[in-house]
Amino acid sequence: MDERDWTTRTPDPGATLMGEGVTIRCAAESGASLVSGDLDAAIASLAPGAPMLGLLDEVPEKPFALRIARDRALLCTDAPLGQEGWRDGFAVSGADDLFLVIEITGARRDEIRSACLGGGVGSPSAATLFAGQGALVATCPGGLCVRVEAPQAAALWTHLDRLIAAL
Amino acid sequence: MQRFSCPFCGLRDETEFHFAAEAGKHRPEPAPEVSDADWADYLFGNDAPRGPAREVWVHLTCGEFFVMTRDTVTREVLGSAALPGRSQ
Amino acid sequence: MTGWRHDSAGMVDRDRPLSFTFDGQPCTGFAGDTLASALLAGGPRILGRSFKYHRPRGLWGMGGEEPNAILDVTENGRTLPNVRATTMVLRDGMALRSVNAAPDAARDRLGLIDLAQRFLPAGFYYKTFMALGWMRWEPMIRRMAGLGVLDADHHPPADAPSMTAEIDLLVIGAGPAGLAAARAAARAGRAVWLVDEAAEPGGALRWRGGEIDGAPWQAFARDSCQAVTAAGGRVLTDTVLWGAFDHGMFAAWERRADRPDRHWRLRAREVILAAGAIERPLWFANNDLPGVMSSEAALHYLALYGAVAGRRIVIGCAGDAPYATAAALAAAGCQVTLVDARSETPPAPEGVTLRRAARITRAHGHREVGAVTVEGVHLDCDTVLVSGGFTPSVHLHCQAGGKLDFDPRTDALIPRPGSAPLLTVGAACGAFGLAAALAGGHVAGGGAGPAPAASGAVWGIAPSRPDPKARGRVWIDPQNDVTLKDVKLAAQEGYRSVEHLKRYTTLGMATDQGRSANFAGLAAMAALTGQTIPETGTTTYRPPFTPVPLSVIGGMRRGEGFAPPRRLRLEAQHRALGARFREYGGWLRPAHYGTDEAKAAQAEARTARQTAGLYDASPLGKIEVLGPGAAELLDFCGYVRMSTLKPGRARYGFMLSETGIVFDDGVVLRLAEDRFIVSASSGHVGSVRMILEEARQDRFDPARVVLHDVTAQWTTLTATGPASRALLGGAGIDLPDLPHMGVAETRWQGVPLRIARVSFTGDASWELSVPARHGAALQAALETARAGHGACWVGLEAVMILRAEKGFILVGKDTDGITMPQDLGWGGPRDRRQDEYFGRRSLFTPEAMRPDRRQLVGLETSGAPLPTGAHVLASDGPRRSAGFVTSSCHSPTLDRPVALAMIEGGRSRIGQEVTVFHLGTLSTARITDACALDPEGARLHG
Repeated sequence: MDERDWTTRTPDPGATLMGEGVTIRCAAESGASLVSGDLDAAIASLAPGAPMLGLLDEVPEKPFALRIARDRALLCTDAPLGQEGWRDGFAVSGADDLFLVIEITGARRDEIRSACLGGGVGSPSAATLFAGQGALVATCPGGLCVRVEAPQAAALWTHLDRLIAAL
Repeated sequence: MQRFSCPFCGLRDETEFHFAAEAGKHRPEPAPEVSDADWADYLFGNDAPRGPAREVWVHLTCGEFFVMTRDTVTREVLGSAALPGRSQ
Repeated sequence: MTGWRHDSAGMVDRDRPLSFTFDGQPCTGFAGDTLASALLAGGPRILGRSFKYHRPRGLWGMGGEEPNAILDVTENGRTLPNVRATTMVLRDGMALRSVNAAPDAARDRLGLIDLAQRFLPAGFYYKTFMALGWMRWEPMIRRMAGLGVLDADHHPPADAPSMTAEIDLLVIGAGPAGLAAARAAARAGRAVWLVDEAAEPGGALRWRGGEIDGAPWQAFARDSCQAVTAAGGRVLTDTVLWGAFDHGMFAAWERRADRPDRHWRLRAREVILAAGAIERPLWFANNDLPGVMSSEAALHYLALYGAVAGRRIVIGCAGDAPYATAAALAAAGCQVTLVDARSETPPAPEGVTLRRAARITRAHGHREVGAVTVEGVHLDCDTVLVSGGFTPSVHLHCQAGGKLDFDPRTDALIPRPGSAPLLTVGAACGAFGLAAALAGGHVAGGGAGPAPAASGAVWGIAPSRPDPKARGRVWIDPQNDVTLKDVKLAAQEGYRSVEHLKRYTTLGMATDQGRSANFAGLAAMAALTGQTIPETGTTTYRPPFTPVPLSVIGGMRRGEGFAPPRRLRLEAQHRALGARFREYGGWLRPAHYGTDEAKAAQAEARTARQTAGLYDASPLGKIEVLGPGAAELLDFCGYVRMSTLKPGRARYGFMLSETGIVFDDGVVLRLAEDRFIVSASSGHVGSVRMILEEARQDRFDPARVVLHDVTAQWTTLTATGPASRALLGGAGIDLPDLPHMGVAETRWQGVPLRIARVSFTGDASWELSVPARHGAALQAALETARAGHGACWVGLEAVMILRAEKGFILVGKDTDGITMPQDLGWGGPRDRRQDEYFGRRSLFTPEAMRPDRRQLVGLETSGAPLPTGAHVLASDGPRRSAGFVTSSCHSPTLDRPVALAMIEGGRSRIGQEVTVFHLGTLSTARITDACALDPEGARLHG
């Protein structure tokens, strides 16, 4: 298939979609790292006190960590940590540009959630499928906070744009 | 839309999972000591039980491989367990 | 036009007339009509033709069970095929067309088929159309088969969202039983979702009426719905619950008038099924004539729409239910005769003639009913209403695994309590009658508060059955044209199980799924085989309960939403440079720059080879493998050992599957003792990562090695060609002194920069990776220096040419599902390695050791490039393929075609001439080494 079959683009940070009772905003990640292994040691070393969040947990001020797996998490920070490699018992890889952050707020955000999230409330892992795409899903003030890998953001953005018109 | 249980993440939609293998198959090694028949049986021979079956599945969103016991007739999920040594 | 519109009954808006056409004939209706009610009140009676015999068909029922009134509906130039007239609301300007009839329902030419009916019993398909071969008959049969016509220009938008909800109590059906259950549960504080397929709650109350708790039923319905919403629940109308699935999931289709429909996946802690029951017909000769209708449906049309079926009406029954219909029609001014098979009956309603202990034995008429024979007496009439009992709608109970028991009292198959994870109440479990429905629903909903009360006894019913000795043609399934004689034929031919009966006769396989036919069919078969009804059993119930448009289930996952490709961070920059994009390996990437594709790819490849080229290699997978166990993991998962790779170096390797097949290839970079980056083909990153994860968790200690997929974190731009080093210097990039296959981590303008000297083109090549947020700056710097060094941006098409000239493979294009590494000339690790690795044993099977396996070679020709997929013929023996062309293009550098191919024993045949076959044409080629350019690799060091 060629380019004429895809009309959409990856949203720029700051891009917004407005619908009846719902606003969707795209933001860049300020800084993030993938950490694996001994997560307690990783947090203590890189961002002491950062809480570990699961599915739909409320995100506080940075730094905080979004749990992905038993032994993997995304540590979100105010700025890139600039750390790479294996430490004692854990590994860290820069992931500052891996995800785009999509915030969904407004009175009808629960309908968006109904249309994009399957079952599975209250899970220790924030990683799930959101509108069929891998994503990390948490709650932010006023709504949902969804992290999707940047190359797939265009597809999710298009889907949300059509969804708010269809709800 | 079936629901499976990842030992770490809990109950999730089936689209987050993928079948890996029948559980309980041990890889014959080392290669020079394995007959063609044994190797073929390891690769392709499956018990495919009718009723409760132990299977290795992977939860794609977190990457955890685990054992799920599932009834192949009623499709009921009878239990999920982490791989030995994995639960913390 | 036998039906007529009452001047005041019903709830249509007589101040808003609507115009529509039926088979081109103008008709009128009112706002609030369905297509069926408008046609009944003022349209022709013949609405279609039956599937096999093309007999005239008229309206039978009132809802989803309708077997006959199936129409193609055109609105605003768009046609929807196979709409049931009973479930679609009438709008102004609609054009309705009958189906399965030409030129139209009234004058269908194929009506003549009915004259040959004696030769067309059930199963005749299997016995005829054999002479001259089926292929002769197939086109004719295909033209005749099917009902409506698809509008090829009508593409419904992909706009139906798929919603998920977890609920406390799901009540399916908002008739009296469902409303009572919902109200009781809501009063106990439970959040109830109450779902009904009609536009308003009430179920049969809407046309039967009735008083509940001393007030009109509407107050009860309103009160119940308010209780539901007040307790945090939801009432969904115009919503069909169409399937029960595994793990307690129910699917529903919500129709909305001015917004897109919605698909619901519902999971409930508890489910109550209150889906009601469907009226059965009676069975007498010619019972399929237009004008023969369900009695309950006639009451429904009169009460809701003021549409009256006729004026001289005979009602055949064996139970109490049609007495209300008779009373209402008589009150509306019709001449009504009630024919009850029972000798003890309720009193005749006012104005109704009642005949007891009497049955209809034949209907008369040519194209619509004009008279009936009742116990030998001829009665003129224009409409025959029938009620042979009620069949509870147990579909969802059975889909959920539930079993049925036969209840002789109600002459119905009803859900066995406890056999399914849902509770059935009301008519759906054989509790016919308002009081019984309310009581059962109330208890099922938890019984909070006083039970709603209504008067009225449980309906009396005497079983009705098709009479096996009846004379004349008696229809069991009107849509698929299955008669009682067909059931006898099936039994005679040995198709006695109910599943065989269904498939042999097609009874119950039409769009109505046998709603009005299945019970009679199984009862007739039971009688013929001397078995009881439970012994005969029912066919399997499967979703959907009612036809559901695929556009609702498919939802938004169509077109762009179906398999959207991944997008480059620098897409805008490439577009600004004139890139034309295409999908490669699941990513949208530049195919070439500029408009002329064929010329652009050649020109870009030539420039890249002669001077320098730049391309975006970001999609190439980057999986970090970290930890003290990293080398060990890679040694096992890879075919080429990486533990011997020194930090700062890169090595090309393969990943095999356990069957020894080449699964992926790519370069591994070692940045430190405990840090590697595995590159994987852009389309295989996810699966390569899963193979590594499985070994990590199931074979090794996961605390000693971890995996991070950071593909999207980095933007990678590659500079290739003899002038590439100078170009990078001109862009301000300080190149460290790297050997070929070296890697270094450095900085550029304060930003991390990783440089890998790896080549996919055969020329000196540098892959530059920066964190994606700095990719635009790097791209801009390269673009500024580009022109001054005579370089150009190259798209994937040009890169494909460059790698083909070098014989570099693409997994999945030059390899297939049986290619092993030794076939590519990479047998070394297999011969040398002593340690265990993934796929090892498979490389030593008799199949793997065959000397005539297909091997990667090149093919040299003159003239035009060989077509990819062209076959190389075996040089002796019978004509057969000995291999095929896997990649082929014109080489601008060599100014001739180059091709790669997999040919049996190819490497030992280098230099030989072969014949190439493609779509009937033969040509010749010479087998060469796969690498057509600079086999020593001198250009790598340029």
